[in-house]
Amino acid sequence: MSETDDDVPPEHRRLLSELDREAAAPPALEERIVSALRARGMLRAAGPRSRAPVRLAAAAAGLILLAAGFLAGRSFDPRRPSPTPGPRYALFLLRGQERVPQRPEEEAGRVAEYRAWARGLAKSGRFVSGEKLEDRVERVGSAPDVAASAENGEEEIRGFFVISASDFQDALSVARGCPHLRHGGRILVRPIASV
Amino acid sequence: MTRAESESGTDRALVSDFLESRDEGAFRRLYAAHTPRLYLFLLRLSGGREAEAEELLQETWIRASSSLPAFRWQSALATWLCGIALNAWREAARARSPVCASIESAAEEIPAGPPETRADGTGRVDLERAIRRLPEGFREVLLLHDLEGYTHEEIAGLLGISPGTSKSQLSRARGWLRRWLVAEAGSAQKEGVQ
Repeated sequence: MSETDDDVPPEHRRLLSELDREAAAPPALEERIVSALRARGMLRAAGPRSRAPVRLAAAAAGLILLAAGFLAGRSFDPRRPSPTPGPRYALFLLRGQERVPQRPEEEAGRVAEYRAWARGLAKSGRFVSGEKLEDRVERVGSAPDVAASAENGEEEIRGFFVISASDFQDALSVARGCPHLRHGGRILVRPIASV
Repeated sequence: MTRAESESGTDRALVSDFLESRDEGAFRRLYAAHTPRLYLFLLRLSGGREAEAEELLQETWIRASSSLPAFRWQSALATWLCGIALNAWREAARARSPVCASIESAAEEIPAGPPETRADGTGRVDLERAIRRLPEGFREVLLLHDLEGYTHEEIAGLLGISPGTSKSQLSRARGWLRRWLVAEAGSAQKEGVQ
């Protein structure tokens, strides 16, 4: 509200400012729109992941993206629905062969994707929590402790989400919508035991 | 770098990737970045009718995909997309009811009293629902100005009206909401007394 604000009572202004500016569209709608564009010849089918070089090394940039996504999910509208009671699932985001953004603009675009996805989950009451993990890994157990760099394996867990879902298939469906997959990452879905 | 500059840089990269490749993944990234805002805008424009908002969102992206090569970045990408969405909605509204689509005729529809009101369990008033019940012409101007940040000159260009008409419609829309807020507050007071 930048103009003719004189006739706007503070209460009115406050209420307007509290209104959401975004809402998650139904996931099926995205598929419908992609199909419609493809049918009109406006879109090529998804091909090889990328023409740009793929870097497997862990990169701080990638972690920033995950952090942004998690943060967005946590800090989103405080009036968002509480997580739906029911089974909970952990979605472990593995590094896989995701393409690391090459440019700041590309990186920011990735942030927007994770943010939109996390917000969608929060809106639907499915987002429970999420954290990014640092690179450092220490393995402890019967074998001698080993300090391992996160760059040593593709099984590196970059972060995780905890979501609520109606059943395992539903959780898989949520995971399939995560932008992490579109960038070559992988997701491990595990039910959380109810004890 | 300001937030606007950062968003602009992001949008340019997303659009450039999409136009260079016409790749499905590139489109999905663009879609993910802009759809949440577009969808809510359309949902509000269509008075909360989800099926209509979904149809309009699809139409918006079809038109945008076709017109993107001609986009010259004289406005923010979000603003441009919002304009496409608005046009799609107005065309649909005209097809549905030529009379209601006219902002001037909508002035005749403005109710004298407040709409049905509701307060949720926390006392938060349902302004969202009140906005959706505004006559279409008033709703357009209120959404574009108070929620999407358009100027009256921009709204005038989008809606084919004068900036003065835009100002007057906004004022009347706000007045309608204000009456509704007062009525809501009065209703809450009565409940408190009882």
